[in-house]
Amino acid sequence: MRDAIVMWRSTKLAVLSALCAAFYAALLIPFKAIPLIPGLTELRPGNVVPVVAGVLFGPAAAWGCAVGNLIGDFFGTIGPGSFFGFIGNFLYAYVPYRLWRLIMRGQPATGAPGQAPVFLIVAVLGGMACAVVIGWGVDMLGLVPYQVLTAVITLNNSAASILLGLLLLPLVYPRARRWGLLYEDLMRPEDYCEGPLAPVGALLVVVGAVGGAALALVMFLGGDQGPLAAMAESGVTVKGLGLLSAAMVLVGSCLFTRIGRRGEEGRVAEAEDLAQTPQTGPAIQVEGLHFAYPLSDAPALQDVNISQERGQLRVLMGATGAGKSTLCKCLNGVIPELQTGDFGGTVRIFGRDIRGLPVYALAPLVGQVFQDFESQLLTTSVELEVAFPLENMGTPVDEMTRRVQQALESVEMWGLRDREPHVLSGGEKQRLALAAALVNEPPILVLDEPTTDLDPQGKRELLDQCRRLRDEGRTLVIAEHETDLALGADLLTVLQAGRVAFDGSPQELLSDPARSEALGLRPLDIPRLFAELDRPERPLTVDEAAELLQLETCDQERWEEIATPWMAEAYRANNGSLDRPVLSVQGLQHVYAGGVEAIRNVSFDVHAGEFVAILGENGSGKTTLAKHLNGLLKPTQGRVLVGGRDTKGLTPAGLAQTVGYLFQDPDHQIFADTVWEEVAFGPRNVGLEPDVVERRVSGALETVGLVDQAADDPFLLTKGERQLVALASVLALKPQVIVFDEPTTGLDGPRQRQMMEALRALNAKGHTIIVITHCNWAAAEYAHRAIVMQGGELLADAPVRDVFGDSALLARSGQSPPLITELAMRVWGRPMLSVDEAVYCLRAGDTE
Amino acid sequence: MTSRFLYMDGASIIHRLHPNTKLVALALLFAATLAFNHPAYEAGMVVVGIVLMGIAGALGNLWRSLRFFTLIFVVSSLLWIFFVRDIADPTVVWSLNPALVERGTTAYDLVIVMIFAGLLALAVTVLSLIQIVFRDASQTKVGGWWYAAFWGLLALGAGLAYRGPGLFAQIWLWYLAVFAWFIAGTAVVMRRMRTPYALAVWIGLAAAALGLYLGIDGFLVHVHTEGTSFYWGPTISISKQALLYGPAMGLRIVAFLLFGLVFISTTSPEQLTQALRASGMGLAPSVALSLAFRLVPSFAHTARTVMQAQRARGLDLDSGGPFHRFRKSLPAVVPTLGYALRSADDLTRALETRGLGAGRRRTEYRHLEQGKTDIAALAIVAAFALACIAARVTLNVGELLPRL
Repeated sequence: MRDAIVMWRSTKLAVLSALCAAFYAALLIPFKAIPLIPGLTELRPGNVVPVVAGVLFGPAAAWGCAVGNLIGDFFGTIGPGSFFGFIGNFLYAYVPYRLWRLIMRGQPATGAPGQAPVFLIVAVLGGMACAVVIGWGVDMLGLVPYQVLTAVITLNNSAASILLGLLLLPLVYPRARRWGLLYEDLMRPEDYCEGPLAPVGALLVVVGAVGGAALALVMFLGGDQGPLAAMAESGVTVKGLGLLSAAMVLVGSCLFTRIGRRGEEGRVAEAEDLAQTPQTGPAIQVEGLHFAYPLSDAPALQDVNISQERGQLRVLMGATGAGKSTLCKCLNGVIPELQTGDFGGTVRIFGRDIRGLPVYALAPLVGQVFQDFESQLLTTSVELEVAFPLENMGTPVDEMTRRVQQALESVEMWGLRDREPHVLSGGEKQRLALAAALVNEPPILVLDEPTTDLDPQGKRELLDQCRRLRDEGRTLVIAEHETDLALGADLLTVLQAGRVAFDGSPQELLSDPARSEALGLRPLDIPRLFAELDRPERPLTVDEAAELLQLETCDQERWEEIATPWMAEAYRANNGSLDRPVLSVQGLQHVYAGGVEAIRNVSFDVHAGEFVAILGENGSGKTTLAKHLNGLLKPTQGRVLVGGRDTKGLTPAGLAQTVGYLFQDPDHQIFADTVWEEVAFGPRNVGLEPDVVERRVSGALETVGLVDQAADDPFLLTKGERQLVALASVLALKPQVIVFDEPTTGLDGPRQRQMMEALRALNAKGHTIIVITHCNWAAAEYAHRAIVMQGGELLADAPVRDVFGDSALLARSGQSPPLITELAMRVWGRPMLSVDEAVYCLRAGDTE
Repeated sequence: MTSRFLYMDGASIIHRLHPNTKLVALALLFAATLAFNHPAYEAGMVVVGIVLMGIAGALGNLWRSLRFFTLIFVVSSLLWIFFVRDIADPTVVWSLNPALVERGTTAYDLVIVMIFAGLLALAVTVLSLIQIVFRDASQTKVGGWWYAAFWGLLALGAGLAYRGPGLFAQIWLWYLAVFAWFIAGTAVVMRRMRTPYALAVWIGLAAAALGLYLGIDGFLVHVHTEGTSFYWGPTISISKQALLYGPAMGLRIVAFLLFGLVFISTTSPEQLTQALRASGMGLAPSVALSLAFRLVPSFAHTARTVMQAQRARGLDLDSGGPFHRFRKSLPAVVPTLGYALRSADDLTRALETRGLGAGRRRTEYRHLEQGKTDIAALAIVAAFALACIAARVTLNVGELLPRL
């Protein structure tokens, strides 16, 4: 059992056990299938988790599943039985792991068909060990008779592991392997290799397990004759024998590993030293930095040289994969301390080379905020989250209280200090992460794409916060995609394929649209306008531009040329068609389970071939509204008609071929082991014939351009490619209407453009496109019609041009128009939707 | 069930106690409940539990769990009435003994006919069982409540009726019959989970469990083929003690759950983690525990989103037999698991970045002190528990049967 204790030395294994626990608990609760003993045992798929996790993650899974079961009990059934549930679930993962190691001698659990017999044996034995412990314990407490509970739990566990185990394992193993999460990857060999008593242990385990199995079989076949009668006479009970077998398995497992030394020296002294040294010299100095990840061909960073003084704000930009995150990780030692790879060059913080320093030592100097805010919030309350870093540093309690309050007040979250993290909004979560990074009062702050999941308001607020921090004298590095946000920075660095392609002032690059585009950024509208007008000035803000454009006139005819057909087109698509609308929302109201009214009295129709953008702040009801369109949510009042049919009587599965829905995060749906299988999932679900499925899949893959990757593992593709896989899987169902939930989030400029072009191509083919988006320039250039939601109500339903031209409406709904539209409205009172339109109207004199 | 923790914020005395005090008190209360096995005394424990819930101001939680508690009480009571053994001299209240059937009587002929009819019914049930378990969504829905009841009863009759060579085969057929009823009832339950039909199936399950037990111990089965006559029928005897013991155990389990509910309602996960850490749990395990609590609602939310995404692609989770339902859960389990595993790296990085592992002495932000209230509360509970245990051990108070 030593391995079960030693594993806690590894932070990653501790995290893995927490993940197993949370996953097991989260899956035990909603996925109940059939009650076996009502209220006590249900037949459920979740029971496959301990076995599969056990053979992959070893003791981490054992602790995890034990705790997970306990947490599951926290939802109403804590009792002394929970104690036995804890031990039982621990064994349910630990026994398969130990037996696997014994039988397979180091071969990993890949889930290949050849391993099936061994897997089934260890799974069933593990299940029985769990059943015996829980059954005995609960019987002793007088809760449920032993005979019933043990048999039922064995059945439960065996059903789950036999039906699901061999299907689940081949899907999890390659990914766990790739991400380096297997037990062998994370622990040292001496922690799990066998000691001298191993053969004895093995014997005990086998006898115990086999004996237990035989016993269960005899018990099941029953009768008061034969062996059971003989036993009863000699005073031995079935229960007692069951317990003996379990004990043998346990003791045997303990004998497997040697009891060895413990202890690892901490490097405390160095950490304190760093915080104390005077901070002189440039804040950040990177020289000749080079890094390549272990399994990749191309280096992530090559020959990077950067320097930054105190009190400067640098924005780091570049296409996805250019190396922004890698560079951020190098700045606080995460690379190379926590990430293996080929590392070269020097990183100096205040003149001190940080190579070799543990990450926690640098925490008081460099704070970090990561992109995925979910994965950086670690505790169960806001206050504790911010106190956590201070606790680790051994800060005295009164100073902790002061600093926590200060940090929370600086992000305006002191009032929310008792909340649990999962009830916070995206913006609040990100601010919380910022507070946790700030509480150590680090002079340097690194933020890796912090605004990705925020709405425009949230983005602006976060950037303002960063500017305030810079004004206080801190040094900041922010990795970003949004070109507008780079305007407030002191320094702009653009990476391209791991090299520094530009390093200078933002004004210098952003006022050169051609160069911006060449470097993979989305050029700003205003300088681009001036470039295309052949004017020498390069203003960057609307105010500056408005001044300079006073004398430019907008040709009325040209304007009519653009605007009128556009409007006609928009109106035709909307009202002109005499056909029945393909979607009809009538008096929709939706109230969530807790009584929260998400949507109030919304009505609109959508006709075939329209391109609709749904706009609104976070929490205005956009996603809730969209989920009604394919039956995922049903109205509390009112109705939604799809092709004339009421969604109330239909399931999302039934509507899948009419209305497709692309979720924001492709990882919420990818599960198959090849791209082809993933895309084929949809057509197969709706019962199409195999040759039809084949055609649909090939067609969809061709449309998104992933034909060459058909046999690849979708989990291992890049984020952009995964998004395309998700799109292909929706397209394979050939729905008339396709709803896109934030398709451009997290993508860099060129890819955002690519995605919107793909949507336009689909619209041209005849699909009705509905897009929920924050990206107003995309809505302006691509959509005909905009539906603006606010506070659950429909604020406006009009052509996009009208919406973006109405400043009062925009102000009320918290939206801001694309910069070009704002400029055009200010100077000429006309809502121009793109730079091209503006150029066309203003250069009427330069006809060809 | 929501993924909201049941913690109800409040300022009651119980809320203000140190979590360690509450844990020890909980253990003591469990011990006190275990001391008795008479229904009246266990009912007293339940009352104590309700009173504590009232003090904690957590009656809302009790109300929500009422249906669940009632259900557990009923099931547990029924199971124990039939499963309790080692009753020294039972006061038999009702019993059923095998009847003697003589060759040449009409009863004999009737029984032979029933045996064959029963075997036929069993065969049909088994075949439809296979269909139900492996049913795919595209096949038609199987019968309903009456269907399940009819075939179940027939199957039961077959099991009862068969008298043939070999104890072995007899037991097997009995099990098969009972299982058939259980599975057939499941076909009903699968479509209608929260309705009276479900209750009918649950009662059926209790009967099934009864059958299991009787079958195991051979009470039912007496192969007496004495040439011209045989005994036929079950041997069931229910004693007064068993009738009392069942509900006593049912009440006991409710008392346990009530005390547990008091604990959950007054202790937030962070308090629990801190208390455990203060009692000497290592840093890494306590951080992992806290992290697990933090992640559960997150993962539950992810799981829901994943299910929505898969349903939007045509996955129909509400149809099909158990076999297909299990397989269909895979597209919901794998993305959630992948999502969880993918965040391992990020979380590890976040923990290290926030300073974990510094190896130096750690301070606690929220320092929970144990004060006089704690000592007083603990003293009261300990006295109560000791009194109960002493009363049982020395005076046999509250004892129905000489067992735990």
